[in-house]
Amino acid sequence: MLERLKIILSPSEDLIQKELTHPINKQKIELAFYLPLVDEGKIHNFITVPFSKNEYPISSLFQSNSNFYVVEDPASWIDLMLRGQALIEHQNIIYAFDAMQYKYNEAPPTQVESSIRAPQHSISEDPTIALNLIRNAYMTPELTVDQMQVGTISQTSLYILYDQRKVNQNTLKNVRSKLDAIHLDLINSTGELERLLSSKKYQLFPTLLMTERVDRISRALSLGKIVLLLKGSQYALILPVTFFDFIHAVEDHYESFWMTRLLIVVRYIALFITVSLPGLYIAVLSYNPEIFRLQLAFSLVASRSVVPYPSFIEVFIMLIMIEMLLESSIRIPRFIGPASTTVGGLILGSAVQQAGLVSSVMIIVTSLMAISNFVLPVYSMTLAVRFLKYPIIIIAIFFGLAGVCVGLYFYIVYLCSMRSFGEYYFRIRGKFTPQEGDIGQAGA
Amino acid sequence: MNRYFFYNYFIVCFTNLMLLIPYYLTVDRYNGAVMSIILSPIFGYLFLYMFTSSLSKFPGKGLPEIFALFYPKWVVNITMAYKAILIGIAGAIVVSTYAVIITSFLNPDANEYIMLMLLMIICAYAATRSTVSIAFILEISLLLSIPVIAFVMYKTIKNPLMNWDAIHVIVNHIGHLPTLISFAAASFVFTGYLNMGLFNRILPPNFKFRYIWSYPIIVFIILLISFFVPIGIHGTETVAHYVFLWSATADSTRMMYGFIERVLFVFLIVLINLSLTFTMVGWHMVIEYIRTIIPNNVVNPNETKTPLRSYIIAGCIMVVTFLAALKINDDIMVKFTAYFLIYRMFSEMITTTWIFILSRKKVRKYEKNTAS
Repeated sequence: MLERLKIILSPSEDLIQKELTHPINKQKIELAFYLPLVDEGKIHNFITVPFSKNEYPISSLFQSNSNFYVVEDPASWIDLMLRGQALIEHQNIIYAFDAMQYKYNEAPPTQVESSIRAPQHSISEDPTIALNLIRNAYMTPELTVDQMQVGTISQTSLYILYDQRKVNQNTLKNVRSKLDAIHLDLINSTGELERLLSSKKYQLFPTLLMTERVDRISRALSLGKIVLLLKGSQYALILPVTFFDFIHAVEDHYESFWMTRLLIVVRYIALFITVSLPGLYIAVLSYNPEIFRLQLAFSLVASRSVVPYPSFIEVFIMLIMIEMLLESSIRIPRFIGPASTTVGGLILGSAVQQAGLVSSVMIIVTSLMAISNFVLPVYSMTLAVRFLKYPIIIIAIFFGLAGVCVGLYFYIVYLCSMRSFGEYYFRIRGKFTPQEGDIGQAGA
Repeated sequence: MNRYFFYNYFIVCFTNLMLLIPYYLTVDRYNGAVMSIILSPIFGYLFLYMFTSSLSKFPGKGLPEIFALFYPKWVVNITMAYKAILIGIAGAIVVSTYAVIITSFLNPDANEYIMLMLLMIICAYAATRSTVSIAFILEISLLLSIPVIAFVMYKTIKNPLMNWDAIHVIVNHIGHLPTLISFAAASFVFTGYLNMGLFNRILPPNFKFRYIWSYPIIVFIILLISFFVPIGIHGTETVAHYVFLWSATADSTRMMYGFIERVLFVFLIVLINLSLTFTMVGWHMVIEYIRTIIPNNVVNPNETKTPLRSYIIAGCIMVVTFLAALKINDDIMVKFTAYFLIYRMFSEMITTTWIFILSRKKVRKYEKNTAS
């Protein structure tokens, strides 16, 4: 049986194939199962322990216990194994033993990528639970799990998951060589790994997607991507990714079609607002108030009439304040968390405006910018985008509206020239026919 | 993948129609501009056909590689340096014209040369990216611009100031023979296909140019709009008073609703996008052409790391453009652009015919080989 399984199945770290021989009576059994999918205790209690004790012939146990049943058709082997059955061969008869376990209840709820109607569990720090969830969500024998150790002291187990058939072999080789090249004493979180794997040190956008959602992982696997799981970390890494993966939330597949399309558009608008709004505020108020219609320009300038300094100082005051507010709300203990938002958002916001330190339009700009920043569904992109407004502000101080445009143009250029593990990061795929081929193939 | 050809073709059309071309056409509006507008798509299509059909004989090859098949190294080097200079001048004209527009319409207090420097730095940075990245930037930038251009054009056509009689008067001057400058200006907007001299490198091996007959027709319609609408708005006489004709035309249009009242600002923001992209594509071609002259050049349209020589060439272009902009004032610039347009028209006609002959030669060679 094991030889046949070797032919059918791709070798995987979590696929256990054992041949047991009893030392006294020389009886043999062959055993095969997927480790994360089964309850190992059950296997011990029902198979390996009775076998080694040999109190009565093992074949009679297989025949008498209703948990074992004979499998006739070899074609169903894989299917059974993927459903958490252990296969046993004894005297050329193949038995299946139901040792399946789901670990949904042991998985913690999603914390960062929460959603309303999508599955609520996330992957766990325990890799067996994580692999159990992923194997249950992505039930094909092509899913391969490789294991390696990273960190010279920490010896953290790292699992590389990919679909054998769909994965791009060059990318896989590239990732392997990068992982081999890591020389670090301690690796504690996937975030560390993310920074080590990123091709450039000073890049503005993430080239790996960090996620805790099982559905996102299984979708990524089905698209031929590689998933990295680190023992002791609640987040998995998906690579290679495109920019559009970061704008995409898992609910986009679950909810009503038109509303989700609209939400994607809203996310792009939010992205534009959060990056450019403070810069535009400076550019419009300090350089070109005439760009707006007269009433609007008047009310904008009038709201600033009490503020004694130029608009960019105002912007800097508010931005530093909002960054501190966001940072403090992460750091302080959860049960006094609402206090910081109340003090910071409500009291400080209105007081600073009444004191004439900041115009009321600036309060609107700041809060709009902060809200639209958190519309983006993936946290690493939210964090990356949070930084992007500062260069725009600097350039707006010196060049006004043209500076803001040039700055945004720079971001487009930067995004287009980025690659995530050799794959194009920011491009419109459009209609794609394999017969016609893709651009950039001829020279490569 | 035909869209990448579409973008290359239309970036030349849009950018130049919004900048200087309408000025040269309106100067000759009583003697020959209308005729040259009508004749130019025919010539435009002819050369477009010749160029694309010859390029499809050399899949995956840019102009330098095609010339290298037939001629010794030094001939290729001279040709490429010559072409690079022509393209570089076109880019320099666009970016410095836009710097003038920005200082006169958007930031009157700003120093024109600092503005030019900012625009050139971003163009140079973009131009040093790989050819595939340039194609993506081009795509995004045009997709963002085309709806806004369409909106601006729609708004100006629907302008209540629009006087159809003025247009009628100008159309009646159809009988005049085209002048050289008006024909050169009109035919320049049809020369976007020349970008494929470089971008043919990234096209897939079995690429076919499709729907190329439609390109001159679309450009012809846009050319008609961008020539006649300013005349309808400013009148037959006043229209020649403006150098930056479309900026003035957009400024005479107003939006009733929305935050922004003057169409000019929408127009300027699109124009910054277009002119940066145009200059980026142009300078990228210059960089790639000059790189083929330098020995040990590796042609890789999807290179991950920009080689140092690209940065050096980009720096040289910037310095030359900046020095030229310091020396040349706006008056000379307008005259120089006119001569440049005429000169490059003849030059490109000759190179296109040359490539066409070379491609036929190659076909004959293959036929001989298969026959023997």
